[in-house]
Amino acid sequence: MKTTPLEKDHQFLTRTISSLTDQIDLFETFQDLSLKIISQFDLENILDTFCGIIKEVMTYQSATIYLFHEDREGFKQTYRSGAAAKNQGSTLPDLKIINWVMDQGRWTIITDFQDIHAEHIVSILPIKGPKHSVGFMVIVTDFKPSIYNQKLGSILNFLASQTAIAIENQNLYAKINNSNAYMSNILESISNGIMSINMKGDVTSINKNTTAILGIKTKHLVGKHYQHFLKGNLKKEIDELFSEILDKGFAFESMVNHSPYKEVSIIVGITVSLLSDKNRKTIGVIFIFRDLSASKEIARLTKLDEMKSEFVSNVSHELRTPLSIIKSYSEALLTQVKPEDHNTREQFLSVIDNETDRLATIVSNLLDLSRIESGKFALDYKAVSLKNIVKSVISVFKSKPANISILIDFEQDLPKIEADEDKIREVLINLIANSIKFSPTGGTVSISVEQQDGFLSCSVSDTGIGIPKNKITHIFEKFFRVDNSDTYEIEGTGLGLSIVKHIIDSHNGKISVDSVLGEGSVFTVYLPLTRS
Amino acid sequence: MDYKKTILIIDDMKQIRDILWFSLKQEGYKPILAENGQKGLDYLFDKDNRVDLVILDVMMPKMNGYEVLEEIRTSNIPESNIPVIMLTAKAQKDDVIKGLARGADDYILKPYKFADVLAKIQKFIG
Repeated sequence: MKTTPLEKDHQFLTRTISSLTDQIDLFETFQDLSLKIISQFDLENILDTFCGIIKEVMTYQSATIYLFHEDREGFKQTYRSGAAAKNQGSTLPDLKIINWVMDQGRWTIITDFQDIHAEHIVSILPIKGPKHSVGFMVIVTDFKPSIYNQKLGSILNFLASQTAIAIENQNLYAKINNSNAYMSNILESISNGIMSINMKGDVTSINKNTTAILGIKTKHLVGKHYQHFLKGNLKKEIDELFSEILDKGFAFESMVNHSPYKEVSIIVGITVSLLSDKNRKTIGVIFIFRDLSASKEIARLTKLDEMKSEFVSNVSHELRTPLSIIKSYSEALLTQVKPEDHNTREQFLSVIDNETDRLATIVSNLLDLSRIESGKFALDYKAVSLKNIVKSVISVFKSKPANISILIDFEQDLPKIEADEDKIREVLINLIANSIKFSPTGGTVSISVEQQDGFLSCSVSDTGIGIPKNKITHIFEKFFRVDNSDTYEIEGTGLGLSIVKHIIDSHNGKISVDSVLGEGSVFTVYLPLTRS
Repeated sequence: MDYKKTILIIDDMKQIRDILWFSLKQEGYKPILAENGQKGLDYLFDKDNRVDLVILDVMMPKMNGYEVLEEIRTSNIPESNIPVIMLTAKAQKDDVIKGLARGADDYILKPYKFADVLAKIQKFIG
């Protein structure tokens, strides 16, 4: 049959158009398939989709996917589709062949078509992405050499490369998930509260301890603006820190008194820092919340412990001093003082008497302390004259201190007060003894009593060494003693004032102190006239 | 024998100074009293005074016994090696060790028996 040139052209065009249409169809198919594979995020689904598509393209008996380990040393069978052919425990070809195919980087039939014994055709499809291979597929099909052509090859190679990309994406995705889980485990296990917000103030992450420390009851905080769940001081502080850090780039830790639950008040330390992306652009702010009450409490207990050991050593010293005086004077009386030397005898006996009083005071302070500690401290209320108590206490002191004058000033017509006489006496003994103890020779101790607003006030002032300003708030603490090693070493157990305070408090009274270092101190006790 | 061995007593507590003065005098010594470390050192460092032994209290205002001891031991007076007995109510071992380490010859814990004090004095100066 002869054809005209026109017919030739027409045939050529028809063929070209048909082939172009085929190509377009192929491209569309490729795109569809690629989308199908890439849209999967789970390894199982990716491999499932991949095999499903391969099955449509070429009917196989079995397809087995081997994926390389992360370190690319070795691989393992990860997926298998279709019945394994008889006589085939494993479809895995020789390692040398696999390596050779992987080097070729494209679909390769490894069955010799000339082999008359061949029952199947085995081919290897490297699963290879733009960067590296992730594995390979071993495909076993019926012995029909005719179906193998180049077009099938490019489809398979294309599908394999898309699968490789999908697997790599999936690996990255899993890694990100893992590191997210890792980070959130870390965040949750930190005892501090950690909250990050974006530039608008919406929470981007928050750990459980933040909600625990701050007592936030709102659920699902991520995405919410912090002002929705932080109120009062806390909101104000965060507002300030937020603008300060954005403004200056840093902010000091601030402390806020916060009451997360009813009747619970804690001190929260808040530190803030900037969050930036890899281009160092600020994308938000991170807040760290610390419950400072716990560390303050530990510091307080440690200090108390130290004070207790110091107390034991002080008490031992305090007891030994009067004891050793009593011991040596009585020893001298027994062995050295002549019976007829009455003056010396009397002098020594009076020293012993005084030291016995001192011991008695220390012992009674210790007993008071143990009663206070065990909660057995009870008051015996009676109508008593404060003036008389002051007088009797002074008479005890009068003979003792050398060169210290005691002045008294009582207001006229002082009413009686309801109080425990013995305890009030103890208060005065302690205060006056302190004034004398801390006064240099030649000093003056003045005691005055006056009435004001339903109270009687009794002031004991001295011209002694005074109390440093920063120590004044501590002097009523149990075991506390102002460290005076570089000025005076004055003995004491550090119990007197804490007992005084306890006695005054249990009378619903008040005690105040005013002191100038080097000039003297004034202690004023206010006692209510009637028991309330 | 006319000369009486002289013992310098440095203690801030009057009652202790007084009773030691009384008891040592009874035993034939010549006690000298100092109410603080500085006064004690002043007496000791005066060339005209002769001292045979020092009884030194640890807990004293301004200058404690350890500091007084150090002054004595680092001085260049003939008495820098004088026997020093520390007198302390601090029963802790650390304090005793601290005293001995700084060159004290012996120590007496309060409350003491005078017989012990005497024995320790006699050990050094007879």
